Amino acid sequence: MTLLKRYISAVTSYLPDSRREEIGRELSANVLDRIDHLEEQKGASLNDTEIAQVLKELGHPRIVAQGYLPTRQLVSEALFPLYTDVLRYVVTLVFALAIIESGVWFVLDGSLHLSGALMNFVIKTLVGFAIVTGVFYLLSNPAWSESAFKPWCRWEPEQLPSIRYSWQRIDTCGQMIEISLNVLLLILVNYSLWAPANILANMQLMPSEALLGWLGGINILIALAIVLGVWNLWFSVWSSPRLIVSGLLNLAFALIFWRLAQLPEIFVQLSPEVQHFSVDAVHVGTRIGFVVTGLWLMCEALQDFYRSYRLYKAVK
Amino acid sequence: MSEEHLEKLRLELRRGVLVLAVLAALRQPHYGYSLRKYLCDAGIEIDEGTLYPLIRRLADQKLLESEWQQGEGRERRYYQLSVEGKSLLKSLSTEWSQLNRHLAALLEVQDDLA
Repeated sequence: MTLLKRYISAVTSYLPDSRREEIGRELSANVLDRIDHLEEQKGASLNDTEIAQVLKELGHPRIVAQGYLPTRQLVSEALFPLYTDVLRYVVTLVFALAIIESGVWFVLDGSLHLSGALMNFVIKTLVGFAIVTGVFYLLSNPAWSESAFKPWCRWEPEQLPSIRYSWQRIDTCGQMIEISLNVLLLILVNYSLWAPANILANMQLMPSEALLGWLGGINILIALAIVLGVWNLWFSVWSSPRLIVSGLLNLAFALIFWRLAQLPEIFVQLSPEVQHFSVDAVHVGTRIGFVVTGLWLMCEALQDFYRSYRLYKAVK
Repeated sequence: MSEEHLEKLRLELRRGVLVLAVLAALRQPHYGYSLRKYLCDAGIEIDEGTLYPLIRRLADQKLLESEWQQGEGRERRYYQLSVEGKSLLKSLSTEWSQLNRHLAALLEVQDDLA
């Protein structure tokens, strides 16, 4: 088999059956013309090395064959911005669900299963990536001539949100994570309600009566925070009244955390001999944690009130 | 600006007018290699790996008519503008002339400023 025949065979192997013969025949004629021209210039036949050089100049068979095929993209340029947005939301949603799932597992068998949760997250993210990419591939390369799916074709400048400050824009992904963390918190603070009896029986520490007395108020605040999170997802621009609601929630959380830090007893020791840790150390650590979290939430509350004031003044 | 960047922009600029050049050249019949030589002689360098698939695409779009002919002991596929191709060439030529005129005026102003 001559070099040229091998080359043509390689090119046509990448083409659909219906076009192989026609394109192979034509390409072969074109290359033979070039060889003829070079032989005329040289005054002698080209040897295999020179023919190989001609074929190398033409390009790799895969690349040459690609030129004859219709252009296909995994995701078209027009859909790429939407593709990246959807991917970001899917990964965030998978991450948010993984956080909640970890909390549920922790409550059910008392263990966090971090490596399992991480592996689960990676697998679900890859599956999500594959599904989203597959859907966008179909949208980018429709069976009919033109894609009927055209995002952002109907919009009006008047519908764009009025944003005075960059911090007014609420990050949707950040908000999804915040909602999932609040759901996780809700599961964890009500640990004693969901946990199986055998796990509760083996516990070395339990929340004190005084701490449990605050449970109702904490649950209400967390539920309100979840509602605010969903509200923020729906209307993703901060307004002055919503900032006040957020500030009041943060303030209430901060005051509760500081009050909890002052409780005479946070945990009750169930078994006479506690293994692996000292009860006093747990108390000190928890109190510090409550105070620091309260401080951070107070700062958040002050920032919300200040921003609300700025927005109110700007609108006036 | 790096040489590589300049080369990329140059290729982009040329790629846009290749279709026009090929359509204009195919007002008279050519086979693949003769078309490449014709364009090359006219100052339009084009890779064979780019030109041959481009001709096929234009033929698939019914802008070119083709016919196999025997010549110099070998068969060759000759291409020539179809009726649709002639009409498109006319429209693209007008577009190109206008664009060229506007661009020339713009570049002249830039030269004066420099």
